[in-house]
Amino acid sequence: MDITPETWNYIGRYVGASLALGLGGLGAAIGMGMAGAEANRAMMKQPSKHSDLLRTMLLGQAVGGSPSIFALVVGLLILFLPVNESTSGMVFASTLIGAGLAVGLGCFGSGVGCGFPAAQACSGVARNPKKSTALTSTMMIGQALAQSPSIFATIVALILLFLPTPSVGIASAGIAIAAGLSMGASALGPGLGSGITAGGAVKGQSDWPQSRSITVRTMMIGQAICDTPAIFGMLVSFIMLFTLQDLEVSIIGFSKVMAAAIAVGIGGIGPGIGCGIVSETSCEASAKKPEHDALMLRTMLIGQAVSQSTAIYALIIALVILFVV
Amino acid sequence: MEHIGERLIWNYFPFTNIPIPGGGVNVLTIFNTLVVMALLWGMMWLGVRKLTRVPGRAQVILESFVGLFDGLVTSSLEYPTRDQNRKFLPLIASLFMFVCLGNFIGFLPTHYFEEPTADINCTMSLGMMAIAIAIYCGVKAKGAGEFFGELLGPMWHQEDATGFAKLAGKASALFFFPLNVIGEVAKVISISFRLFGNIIGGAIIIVVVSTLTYNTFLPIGLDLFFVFFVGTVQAFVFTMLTLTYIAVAIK
Repeated sequence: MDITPETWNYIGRYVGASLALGLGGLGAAIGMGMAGAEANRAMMKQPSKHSDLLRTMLLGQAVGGSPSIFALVVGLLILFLPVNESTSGMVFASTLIGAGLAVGLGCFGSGVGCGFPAAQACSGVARNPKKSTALTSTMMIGQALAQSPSIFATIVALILLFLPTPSVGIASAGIAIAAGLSMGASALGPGLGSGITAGGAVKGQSDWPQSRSITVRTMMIGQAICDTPAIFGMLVSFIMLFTLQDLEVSIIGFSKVMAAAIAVGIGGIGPGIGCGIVSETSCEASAKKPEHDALMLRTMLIGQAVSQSTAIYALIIALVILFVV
Repeated sequence: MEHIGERLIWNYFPFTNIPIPGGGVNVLTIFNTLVVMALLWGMMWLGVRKLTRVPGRAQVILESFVGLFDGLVTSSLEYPTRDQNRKFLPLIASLFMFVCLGNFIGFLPTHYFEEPTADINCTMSLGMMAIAIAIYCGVKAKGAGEFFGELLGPMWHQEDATGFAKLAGKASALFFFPLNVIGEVAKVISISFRLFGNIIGGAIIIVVVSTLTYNTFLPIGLDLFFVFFVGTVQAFVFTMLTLTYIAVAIK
């Protein structure tokens, strides 16, 4: 069966937009649900604080919903992006699918992740209503940092949509999908992990409010290190989009970029979540014992560095696949 | 939206046809770096022009800023004396001020003001500087032998091991040494791409949403979030990571 360029364009638009909105909305919905559930539980314990709780919940859900708004913007662009004659066809369809994969998977992790601090903030406000302003601001800083992976994913999706991919025949389609997959999948774990970290920090701060500045600092460093796998994914997709001008114009080139994307993308999920688990307890610990903060920070950094080594192996394998084998 | 990612690059020295070695320079990055430096210099000059015992408004802001970073540096580095800690304060405080104001400058409404931190060359040089300073301080604090000996892995220095176990410990360095070196390089990549990605991401999202909504209300809120909030947070993260890398290297 012969597929015309028109048909390819429609296939790309439908698949890309559904991936972007389906996956991107899924994560944010789970995160918002977690916040809502915790707000309900807190209201059961402290019914008199209902207005404070409602405000915290709505604020947490509103800030935590911004990954799904990134997904919505990219999804609308995928549906309505104008196409000119020279680009339409399979490669155009695969850039749309790649953009959808990037923003969908990338916003999935951050969307779920933003739910953790929102949920902890709700239960913290119920326990310690006088400190609700400080808790809310920690929650928002944590959520903003947990959204970094989804911002990276949005950049790659927009670059895919607006800049030309290297023209290497069938392998161009591979480059477009692979760039999206490597960015999106590698952003999934870091988004979740940063969110888990922010949840731990908000929980620690609600129990020990006096050590707020130290908790926030530990949280920021922990989340920054959690983001590293997503940065590796972004690096690999930039390499694919900007330097592979002389890739093999065959199925070999196609499978090469796909293999590199799977390595760095799937390889980034575990380290992201693992680093998040490390820094979650570290945040709680430095909130409880602020005088031993330097010790906990050092232990956290070593633990995260070891947990992250698998992401570095994945990056090396991806670079070897792209440039050596 | 076709201008996303475009850079103004000079390939020749101005008014001549002598090519610039290395393939050209990003003019706007250099221009904006100079603008940020001039602004910082001007602000500091205004703040410390008339130092008084009862501080004025600008002096209070600057004093509390210096006090905040003094506390951060002291609690992270934990050198025994105050002077040793104080030696790092100018580096850390000026790094924060430069990155923070560099992130804010894209807010000015002409396209000549681009964030210098949205250029990978700028953030990469800041990142390399951070890691180079960390390695220098580590070598100075521990001596070159011990500092680079740590790269050989935890099993290299085993005093009580004998025979085969000792040999295996030495052989494990073949595995650990490349990994540790790659880990150091990965630090440079992650610290510089984190700042770059966040700042250019915010800038691109603002451009795209402004075009989609024909520049009505939404971009103002987006500017407040991406430029001021994310900009400050990322500048602080960059500074704290530099400080933490130095602290890890010297201990």
